[in-house]
Amino acid sequence: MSEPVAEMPESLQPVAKAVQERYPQANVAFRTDGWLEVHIPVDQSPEFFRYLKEHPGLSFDYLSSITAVDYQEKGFQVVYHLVSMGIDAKGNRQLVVKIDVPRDNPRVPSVVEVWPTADFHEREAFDLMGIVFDGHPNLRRILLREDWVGHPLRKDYVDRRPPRPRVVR
Amino acid sequence: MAETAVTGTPPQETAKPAVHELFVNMGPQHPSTHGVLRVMLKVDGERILDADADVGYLHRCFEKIAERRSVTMVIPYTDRTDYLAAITSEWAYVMAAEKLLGVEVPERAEYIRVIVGELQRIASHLIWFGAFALDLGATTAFLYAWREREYLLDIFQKLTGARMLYNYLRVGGVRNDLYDGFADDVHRFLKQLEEKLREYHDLLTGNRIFETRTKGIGVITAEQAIAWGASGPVLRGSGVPHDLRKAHPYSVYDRFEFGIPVGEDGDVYSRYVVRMQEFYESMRIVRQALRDIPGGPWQGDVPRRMKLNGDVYTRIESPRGEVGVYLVGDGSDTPYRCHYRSPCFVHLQLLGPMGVGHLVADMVAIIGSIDIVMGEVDR
Repeated sequence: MSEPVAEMPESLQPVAKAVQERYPQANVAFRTDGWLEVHIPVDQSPEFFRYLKEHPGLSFDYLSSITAVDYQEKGFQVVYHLVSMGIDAKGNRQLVVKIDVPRDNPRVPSVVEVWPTADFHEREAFDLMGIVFDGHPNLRRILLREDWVGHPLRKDYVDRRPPRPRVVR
Repeated sequence: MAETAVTGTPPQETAKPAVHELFVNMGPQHPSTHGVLRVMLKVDGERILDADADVGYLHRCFEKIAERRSVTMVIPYTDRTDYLAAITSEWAYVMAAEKLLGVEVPERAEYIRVIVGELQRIASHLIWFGAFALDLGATTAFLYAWREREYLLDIFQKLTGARMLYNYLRVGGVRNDLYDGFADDVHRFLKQLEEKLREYHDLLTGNRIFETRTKGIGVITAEQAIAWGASGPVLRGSGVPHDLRKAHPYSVYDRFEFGIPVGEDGDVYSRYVVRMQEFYESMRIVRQALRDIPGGPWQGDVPRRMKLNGDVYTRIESPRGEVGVYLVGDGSDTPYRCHYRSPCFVHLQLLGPMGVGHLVADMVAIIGSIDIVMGEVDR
């Protein structure tokens, strides 16, 4: 349900305004499920994320997840889910940031410097989807073994392992 | 060494001629790793200099499997991610599908979900209590906890037909209604558990050996916990009163009165205290839900052919922390992309910050205190 609606909750309005003012190229929309959705071009990261985290009026201090989706000919989309914890009564705001990357060169800057928790998330996205996170200190496969060929969550992935013999008992 | 064992403080650096760095593999086959987790330890004698988790031994690529199954067929696979809290992993997925489809869940179904969800939290915490105590060498606690869990599994078996992997939640509701006498069974169990929890506290809380092994071990501050993406009891143990059931009430959680137990020191003991308190909060919620549960259907109207469109991210407070499901649909009845954010996967990054400076035996306590389930880490 990603259709933008007219009224945005009060807690999210300053976020949308601040983001729009500083990053005019960003595409900001409110989703009916309570998340603010922002599309940014890839060259804005990681400054954009540092701004989100460190600007006192925004303080998105909690990174919930980083994942990637393979939209085939439209390329990959890297999706970040951010939350401001609201310890200091700023409200629990939720923000989803999407970055489109081309299929032939899937590179985005790493955000490990901003949120240390991004480490495993980015390694997983690299392992399963083949997104390269520039600046990641330790970008290795995490779930699959090191000598695995290919990235299984890509839509064009072909399992090259020899077929298993059928066992009839 | 003997001195530190008595005071319980992290061992202090003493003047030493040189550091003899040694690399030690803890696991993958190690009784305290709760499955197949390999922790790569860099040690100097018994002291940990660096710890890094190596995961993936149980990887099945659940996310790829989900792309080849219809919406409903994925539910049994979600059971097998966090197999000790199958209901909450189902719940996160089912909620995401419901949001994409715009399906209304009947009130009775929401109450049933809350009841089984909180009972599941109790069952999961019972295993954690037993396994954590066993890691520290207290075998009695393990046997006690499994005894109580058996009664709870009997209730689950009567309700769903299965003891661990329930496949009970459905898009738009639950599979079947509560059976006659369910409320009596649960009340009897809760009453019994309340008595037994006193025994648990007698066994561990305040026990000198236990406190020595847990206090001041594996400390993370609130800022660290947030920066490292901790959630659930690990986050609350560091003093952050954040619970998704309160912060973003899903289902009917906004109708119940319950507290958020918070720890003070962010150490292993704080996380223990938080989980022990959560038993009582879960029991409160179950009792309120059983009192208020309305009649009516337990399954809502669901289109015969479910067409998923758009994308959605749902977050659920599972016994271990924040479970998130990112579901993308392309207009067909199979998920185009299904990402499962597992709390333990994120928590394993904390082994380094928590463990540095402590002894190898403390690593066992730390792993026990973050309550890992490898099925969920590796998916």
